[in-house]
Amino acid sequence: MELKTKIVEAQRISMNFRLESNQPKSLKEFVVTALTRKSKPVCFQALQDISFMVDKGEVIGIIGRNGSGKSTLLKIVAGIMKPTKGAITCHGNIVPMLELGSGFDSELTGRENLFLNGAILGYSKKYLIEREQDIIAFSELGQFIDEPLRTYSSGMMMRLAFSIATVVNPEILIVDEILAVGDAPFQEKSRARMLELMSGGTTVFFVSHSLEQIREMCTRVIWLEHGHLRMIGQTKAICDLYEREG
Amino acid sequence: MKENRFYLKIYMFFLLAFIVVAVLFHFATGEQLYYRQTAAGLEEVWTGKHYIEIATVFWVIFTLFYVHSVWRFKKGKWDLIFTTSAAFKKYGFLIRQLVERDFKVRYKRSFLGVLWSLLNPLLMMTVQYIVFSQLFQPDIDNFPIYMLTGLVIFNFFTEAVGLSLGSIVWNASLITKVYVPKYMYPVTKVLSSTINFVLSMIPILVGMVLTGETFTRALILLPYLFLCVIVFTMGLSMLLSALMVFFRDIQFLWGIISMLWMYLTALFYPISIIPDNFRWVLELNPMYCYVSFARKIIMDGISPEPKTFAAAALYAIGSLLLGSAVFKKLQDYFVLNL
Repeated sequence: MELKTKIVEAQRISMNFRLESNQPKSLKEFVVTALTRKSKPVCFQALQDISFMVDKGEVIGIIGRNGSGKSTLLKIVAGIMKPTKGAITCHGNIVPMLELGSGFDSELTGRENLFLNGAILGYSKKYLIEREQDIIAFSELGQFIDEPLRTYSSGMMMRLAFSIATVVNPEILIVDEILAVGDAPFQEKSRARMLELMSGGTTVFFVSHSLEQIREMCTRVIWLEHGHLRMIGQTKAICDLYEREG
Repeated sequence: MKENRFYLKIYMFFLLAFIVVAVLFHFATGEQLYYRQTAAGLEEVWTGKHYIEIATVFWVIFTLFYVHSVWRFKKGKWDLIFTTSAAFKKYGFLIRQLVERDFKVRYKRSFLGVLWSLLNPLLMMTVQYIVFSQLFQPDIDNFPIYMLTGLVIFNFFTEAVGLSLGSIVWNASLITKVYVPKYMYPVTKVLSSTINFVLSMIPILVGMVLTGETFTRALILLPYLFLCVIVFTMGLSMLLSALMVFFRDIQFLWGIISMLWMYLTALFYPISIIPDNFRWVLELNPMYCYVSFARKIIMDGISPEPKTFAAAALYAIGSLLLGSAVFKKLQDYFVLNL
């Protein structure tokens, strides 16, 4: 028996950024602005009053023009940023795939980086040891896994990073564009791995500019416009409308 | 009920550890707990007579604290004992990986590798010994050890703070892309310096043998000193790494301040050259408290006075409380300023 459970709940979240141009950068500036109190900081509202609920296993697509707040929303869900107002609760472990190879150190070998990056992504030691061979096999690095990372080509590095990031089975997966790295065969392989991950019963937040992928993958879509929640609902209806408006 | 038995088991474990520590402590401090050397002769100190009472008071306070922690933990609220140990269990692997990374990278392409951890203080001592022994030797007996103990402690302090100062800022690409508890960054930097700190005790021990110092039971107190120094450093590291995000000026200020601090800590000179009306600078300086603590147990072979223990612990706890409070308050704003 599978109960539908709320896995992510966002309640009226807003996110304000203070613009760089009027932020005190040094002690001197800080003291000066504090003393003179000349201007109230001008804020840029990246997100305004966004609420939604997501059930376990849903694949949520997030669409919108550039600068509509998609990445900010992903970062808030991932726990990297805290919203200025409102609250968000997530149940379960989150794997953010906003960037590959976070924390890679060029002096360490591929294998050492595998464990370092894995630890940063929140995998346990036991899990990493279990899957070490899978990761190396998927990355097709072979004997080079014990060479220092600084000797890798950028393609090799991305292949390793991708293999580490996608070996997990998280409860919540956050994806900023489907990542396809390496040469053509590896791109095909990595795309297949992504699709497999996203359809594997995990809850996915997925940002993409490719409506094709969104239609193919998502069960529901959030449409953001200038930081507002324009619409949330069934994939087909929203994608059609979004396309019509261009 | 089963759950309660679990808490009781942990409590008994703490009790056992406490008794062992209390007995060891009593053994290591020895006479110094009872008498104090003054100009007029030996003077009785009240701590020795009331050692059992003091230990009991400590234990009662801990018990209350423990019960409070259990109560909070059961209600799912934050507490110091259980939530923290759960966090360490969860992030222990990450901490180890980050510390290992620092350690490996530091010596990766050097020929002598880890040996540098030992060689560095030794060579530094030699250089400074040659320079300063000409200046102050007559006033201090066993000048090399006098200097080395101070240097090792102070070097750990400046190295750890210097490294963790930028730990948030220089890890910006990580912090904006992955969620990791942010205290992890300064804490791992301090821990990786701690490895060096512990290793650099070896040259001191070697120096003690070479210069004919005797090994006494007071050396048992070293872990206590280490703990205080590390906690003090951690507090300051958290404070400065958090402030650094907002004021990058701190990295430049720290260079000056650490140098000034070093001269105020009496590493190379006898404190007798400081005029009496400026003595308070040393007395209020936490680092001097730690350095003189170390000198007392290593060179004099006796434990410091009870009030020095209290001061060492108070500085450490004060620093940690301040540092973590500021860090906690500011950490949500880090990502907006990186």
